[in-house]
Amino acid sequence: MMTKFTHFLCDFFCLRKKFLVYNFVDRNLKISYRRSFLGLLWTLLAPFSMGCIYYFFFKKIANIATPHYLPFVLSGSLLWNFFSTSILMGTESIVAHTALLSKLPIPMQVFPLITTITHFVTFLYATPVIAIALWITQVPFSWTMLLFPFYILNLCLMTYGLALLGALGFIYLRDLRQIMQILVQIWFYTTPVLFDAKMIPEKYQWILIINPVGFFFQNLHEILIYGKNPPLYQTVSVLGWTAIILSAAAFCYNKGQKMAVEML
Amino acid sequence: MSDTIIEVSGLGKKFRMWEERADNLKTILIKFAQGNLSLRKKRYFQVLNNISFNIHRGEFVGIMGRNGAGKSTLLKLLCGIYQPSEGFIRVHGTIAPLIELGAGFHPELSGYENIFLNASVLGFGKKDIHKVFDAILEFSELKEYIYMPVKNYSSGMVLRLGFSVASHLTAPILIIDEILTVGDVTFQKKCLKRVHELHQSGKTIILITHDTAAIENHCKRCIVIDHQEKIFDGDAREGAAIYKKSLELSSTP
Repeated sequence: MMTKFTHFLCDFFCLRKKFLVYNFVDRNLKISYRRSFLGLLWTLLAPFSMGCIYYFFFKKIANIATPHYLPFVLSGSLLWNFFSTSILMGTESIVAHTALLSKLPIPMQVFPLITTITHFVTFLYATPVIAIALWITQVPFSWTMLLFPFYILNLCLMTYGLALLGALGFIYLRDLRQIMQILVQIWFYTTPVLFDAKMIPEKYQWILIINPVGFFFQNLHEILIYGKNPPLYQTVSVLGWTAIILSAAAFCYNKGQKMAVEML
Repeated sequence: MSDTIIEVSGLGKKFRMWEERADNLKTILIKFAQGNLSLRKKRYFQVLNNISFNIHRGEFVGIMGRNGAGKSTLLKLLCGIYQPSEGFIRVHGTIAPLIELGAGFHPELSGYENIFLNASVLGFGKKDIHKVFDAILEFSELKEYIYMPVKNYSSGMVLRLGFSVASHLTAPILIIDEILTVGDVTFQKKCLKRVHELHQSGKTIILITHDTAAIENHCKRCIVIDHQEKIFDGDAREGAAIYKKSLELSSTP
């Protein structure tokens, strides 16, 4: 029983296809900047300019009260960027590789995984920007910052689960691309990425609970900016959502993966 | 001719009817409004029916059949891309499909990078590639161009690189589908020579093609598929004749 389960986990996370995943991630990263003049520097410049725009607009014009707003908005929007592009691109990833999947015995879940990892690595390239912003705005160091890697690992798992669910669904329902785009947009504004979760009025606080990444971004800001350990129920909620999404993805994958190649 | 390496028994494959498929919201809603969104009533069509054969270690078998006879489906079943609807396939060993040359190639990347990409798509690891890397380079005759992006290669060079990778990273069983009919005559000859070398070194080879001459020249045994079923299994020359006859029968009105 246990061996069957570990076997399943190996397949689910493509642990036997590490070389394939590595090569495709490498390929994606190489070709996305190969022909541009500044190359990889764009991974730093693009989020930095985005952060500056948000900073100027929310801090200087809308006069948001949140302290250390620059690292606040940079950490949030960079992670949101990773999250949303992985899900949107991941949704299309299996169908986009129909030619390969119908000719070679490749497990189809590698493509959402590759998409997730590619965007995750792009995010990692941009993390110095967050560190610099923390340093510039003189956020005091706190041991809770050390939790950051665990948080992003958790987000990665959730992202992969959603990308895989989207990709499997997209095989059967080709409207899913448009549906996802709208959903992600709504999702962005119901998630405390640009604003503090405490700014949400009491009667709308439930949004944070039904939003799988709602508490995630609140916790993120708490450990990075405020140097606080988030309350237990918030952490449990995030872990719970991750577990739900991963199990749903594993269930659908287990059910649909064998027949799905024929449906491509 | 002793041990069986591939065992196919009572193999059948059905596919869903495509025109009935509703894969966008509009169609689903219209069908739902009309009240015939049938989730249970699925219609199928049979692509392969009750196919059984054994292939032994070291054999060179040809599989022939008209367009739409089910060759490609059989091949995908053997490779494990499709799951059989009926019967079973037992494979003792690993299969390397030579179905598409240069699968996973990206035009912006160099030949060198594409070798690794292609190999990983074919299911091989780093160690496998390093073992045969020099042989791949040598066979492809692309040593000077290996760090050039593949988009600047001629189509012949791309084929050469693809074939070199696929024919050097091999498994005990090789399935070759039509790919030997691409490229010019010299390249084809070189490929066939390489396939023969592989056969000589003890690999089991399954060649899927329309080309009766190739079957007669290279295979001892051949399997002919027509109308979803196996109609012949035996001597290659006899099989080629039967295949030609089935072609003539279908072309006369």
